[in-house]
Amino acid sequence: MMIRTLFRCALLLLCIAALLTAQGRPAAASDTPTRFTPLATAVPTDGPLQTPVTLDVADRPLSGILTEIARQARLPFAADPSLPGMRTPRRFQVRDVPAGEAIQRALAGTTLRAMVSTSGQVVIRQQASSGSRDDQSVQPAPRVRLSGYVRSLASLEVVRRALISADNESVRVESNEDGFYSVLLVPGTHHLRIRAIGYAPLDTSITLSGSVTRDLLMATRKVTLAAVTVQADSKGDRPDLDPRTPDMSVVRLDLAAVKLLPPVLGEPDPIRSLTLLPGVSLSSDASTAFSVRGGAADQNLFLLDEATIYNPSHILGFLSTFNTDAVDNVTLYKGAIPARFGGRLSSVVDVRQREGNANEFNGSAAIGLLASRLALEGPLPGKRGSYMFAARRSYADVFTRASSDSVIRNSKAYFYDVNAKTNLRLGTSGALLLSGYLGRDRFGQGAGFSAGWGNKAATLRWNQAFGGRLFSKVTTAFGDYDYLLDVPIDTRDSISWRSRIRSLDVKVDQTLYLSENNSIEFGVQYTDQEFRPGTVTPRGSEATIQRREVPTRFGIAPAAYLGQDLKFGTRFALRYGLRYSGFVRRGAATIYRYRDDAPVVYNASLARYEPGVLRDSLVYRRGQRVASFGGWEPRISGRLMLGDASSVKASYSRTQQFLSLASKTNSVSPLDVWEPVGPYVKPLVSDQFALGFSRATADYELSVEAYYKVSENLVDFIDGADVVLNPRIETLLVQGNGRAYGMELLARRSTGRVTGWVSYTLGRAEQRFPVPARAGAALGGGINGGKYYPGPFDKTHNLSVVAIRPLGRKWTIGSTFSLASGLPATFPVARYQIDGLLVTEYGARNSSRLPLYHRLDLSATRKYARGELQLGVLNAYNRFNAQALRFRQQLANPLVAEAVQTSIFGIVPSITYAFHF
Amino acid sequence: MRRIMLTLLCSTAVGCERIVSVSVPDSPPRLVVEARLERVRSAVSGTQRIRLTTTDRYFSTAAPPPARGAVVRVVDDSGKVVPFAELATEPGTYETTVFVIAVGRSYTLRITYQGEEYVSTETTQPAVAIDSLWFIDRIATISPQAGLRATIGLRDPVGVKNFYLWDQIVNGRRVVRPDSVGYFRVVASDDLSDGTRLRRFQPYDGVIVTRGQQVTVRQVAISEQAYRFYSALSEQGLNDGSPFGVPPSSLRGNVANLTTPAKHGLGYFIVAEVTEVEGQVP
Repeated sequence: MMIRTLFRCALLLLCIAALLTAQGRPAAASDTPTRFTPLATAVPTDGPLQTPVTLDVADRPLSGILTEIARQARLPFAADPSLPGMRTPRRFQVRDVPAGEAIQRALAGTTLRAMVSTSGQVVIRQQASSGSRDDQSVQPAPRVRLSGYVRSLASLEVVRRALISADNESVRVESNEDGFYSVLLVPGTHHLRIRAIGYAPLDTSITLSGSVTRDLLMATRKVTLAAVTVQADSKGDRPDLDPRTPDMSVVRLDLAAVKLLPPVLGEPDPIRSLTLLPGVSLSSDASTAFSVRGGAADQNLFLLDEATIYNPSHILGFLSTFNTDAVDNVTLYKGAIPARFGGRLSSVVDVRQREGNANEFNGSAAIGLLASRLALEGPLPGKRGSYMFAARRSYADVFTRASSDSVIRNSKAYFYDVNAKTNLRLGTSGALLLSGYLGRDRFGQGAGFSAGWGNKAATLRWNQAFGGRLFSKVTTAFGDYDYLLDVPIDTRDSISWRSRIRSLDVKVDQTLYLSENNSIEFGVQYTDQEFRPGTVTPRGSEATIQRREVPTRFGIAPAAYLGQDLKFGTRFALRYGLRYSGFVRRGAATIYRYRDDAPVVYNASLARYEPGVLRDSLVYRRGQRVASFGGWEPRISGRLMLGDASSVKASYSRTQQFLSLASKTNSVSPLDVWEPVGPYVKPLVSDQFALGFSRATADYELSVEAYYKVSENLVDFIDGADVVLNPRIETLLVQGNGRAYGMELLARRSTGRVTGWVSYTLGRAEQRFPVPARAGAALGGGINGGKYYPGPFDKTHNLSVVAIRPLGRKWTIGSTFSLASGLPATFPVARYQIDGLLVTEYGARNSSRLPLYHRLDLSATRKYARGELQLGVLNAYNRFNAQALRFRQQLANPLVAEAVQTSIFGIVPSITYAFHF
Repeated sequence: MRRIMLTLLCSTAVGCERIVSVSVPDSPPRLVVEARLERVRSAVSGTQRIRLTTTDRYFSTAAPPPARGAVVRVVDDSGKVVPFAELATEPGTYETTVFVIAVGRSYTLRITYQGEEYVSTETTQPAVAIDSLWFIDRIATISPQAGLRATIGLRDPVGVKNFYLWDQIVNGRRVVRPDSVGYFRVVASDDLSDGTRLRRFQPYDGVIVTRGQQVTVRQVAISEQAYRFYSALSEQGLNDGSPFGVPPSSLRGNVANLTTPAKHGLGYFIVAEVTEVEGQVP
């Protein structure tokens, strides 16, 4: 009750805040255009303008000379090659001359002059340019198109989701996931500003006389930070919280900041960093499996370059599979999921691998407590593209060998992963990308059991822009997860057990940029899936276990979508889409049939579920349709600006899911098996409504969102279910409903000495599993009598504070603090004895709570000329956080029971050294 | 695997586990039934015992309170009624001396306790023979300690679903603590090993036997629902609270309450044939 009231108050407050902002706020001046001063009068003391350059060319256009100077000096630079004199070839010679002076010399004798902005940006303009823009903009000239890629100046890698604004924010567009942008402007000179996470804002001007394709090159933030201590105008370089975009419930991680946060045993982990954001909840310190807005861990879709990663975890879930050296974009969609994504109920984690430096070879390596990493990147021969290769391997074995416990000493435990990507440029507007991932964990114990599991993923994609207005992607992606267990029963008897899921996707995605106020995206997707729940193979001369294979499940999942982004004036923007997702379960399959069509029956007099009575079975041939499902998924979100810096946003989205993780354990384990929908398991469907307010000031970005989500057909196992290798898993599961509601607050500061964010979630996640209709629902019963109860991830309050602060010139301190309500727990209400063993009679499921959770992690990073040293402390004040509370019989005194609280780690120090070459 | 993982993570300043004091709610007492009626193959004994207790506060340190004054009888499928009488010396224990179980027949237990009527029905399962008993060192490679274990051989019948429960009695005392890891009952299903000959099987591989001990191994043929009950019992006792543990749940037996269905009885009613072998550790 309490929480529902709080929730209503929060909603009310949100509306009041929105109204007040709309009425009471004076129309504040938006960002003033950055001041440019002529290069001739600028007096830079250090920075790229003072970097000596050497150049000796006999016959090169002026534009080429300037670009070469900028490249050598790593100078943020922009010039329009159509300016008069830029194409004129000329002779130019300098030796160890500061870049600023070299530019002056190069421009000598032309009508051009160089301007420098406060952020160190150099722009070439025509001398008599004052007022020309205004004169031209009044002409009713047909507009021309400026398109191309936003790229990093240093490496030529694409910059995803950069914001491009023209003429003092009157026109705004965003580059897409592949860095492509397209904008319509009137002919004439325009001032452009480009912003993106991790990059210094780029200010440039461009003179357009016709449609043109142009790459915009951005300097990385660390280059300019030395020269400009405070980036006063860097707000809004991360479009995720920008009040002006219709995006909501989206967060993008700044991976440079992730590397400065306290690592887990020396490994920075983007997924662990995601869990510090509002609406994301972890159920265990030992696991990176998380819940988004109350959803289960299997409702999150992990895409690595568009290939599905089915189990993104290493070391039984302790660390995620995403190596920060190899990825450059991690975006979490918690709601208002764009129509191009589908397949999971709660969220999409879109991870993109880096393309690699197309200018020069770079390498880096890191040695840490848990693992070592190596990353290599460089241009392809002939500068036709680039490649990236990253690998890491853990050596926990080293520690297990040092253990005094013989069982642990003889155990092996390690993981490795390899990321690789290459891109081949096709002209100026296309690219061919090949990307791959391979990761594996090994776990074993002497001559005892051994286990191994891992993901494989590969993507081949062709990106092409046609005429600057159609961006086309054709993708083939392959995802595979498998595990292997070797269990010895006896010296002459052992079993080997294998399980796997794999999928092959073919996708075509098109985006049509009609104008900066109107773009349309559409596409189709076809997925072929194969689920192998498990095969047990006996080994040895005295094998007692027979071979058993739970039949493979086959399915295809077609989908199509259409979406549109619209802007109406400056105040209102709308994004809507419609997706159709289907799933066809196909043969070969054996489908069992039960009395009354009930695979599971509730026995009310004994208050327990029992397997249904098997009647017969149907055998389907290969490719034959067993069952098919499909449904429309509307998605819509809109924003209304309130003044220049605030907006309210609202969204609705429906999502469907055709597979779920058959997990009986507290947390996701690598040995869980994916089960597709079929004759007895209905697809999961979820509807989510969200209302948000976002505001950006010069120092802070603020986002407040309230959400309400209902889900149907969630899957749960009956008590005592034996899920392992059960060919008739439908006799063990029931489906129920979920509902989640809450309020999320995110305040972020990206400028100044202390950067970071505060995130707070007030939420409730509940579920109910009444007895299914066919199983005898009329009699009542089920978990907690079929009533709603808190789900396993339910945390009423969840607060995270993340702060990064430089200390002197060399050190950076990072810290994260988490405070959260204890997770739901089930407590005993009585006990009794059976065969001399104490048996616990439990109360209502999840009706009690674990103690309050809080933890502080710290890190300190020192920069060296060619590397950095990172010291980290996890759980700095050694808090004994309860992960579970269990009740057991004392071994010494069988009549006495005790409560045991388990925690995952105490204080854990770590050290990592990373260096570049 | 869990243990290795937890130890890896816990080799830091604080331990991983701590005994804490927790207050838990109470619930009104419920009837608990321990009725395992057995017939050792080819033996003819009419003595059977049923033990009735009630639930207690979770953190009680006393023995389970006996359920006194119940009316207990077993009715077979031909309608013959066998009454059980409460022992004056052992309150809560009900006994008969004239009940010989027949394999393949079904029996219904009826209890009237404090005005409520409880009922449960079960069919006798045929037992599988134990071929041999001898004493050798551990065979499972993961058992931590060296030492002799009671080892049996048996052949699972082909094409029949079998569920086993093993008891081990050492010098007249039934082992209830098979392992130092936790409390559980040793049960098995032939789901993955139907028709296999088990040459060397150590049901209590955590229990080391020593020279001169008198050891009896009993193999009880239980029903599928009894197997599920004992599996759940073991799962509850072995749950280690790790992320890979199973969320706790109450055990559901097979004793229904006809008077107040929501207050079903706890525990089980089992009728089984048993094979047993006895030997002295050399």
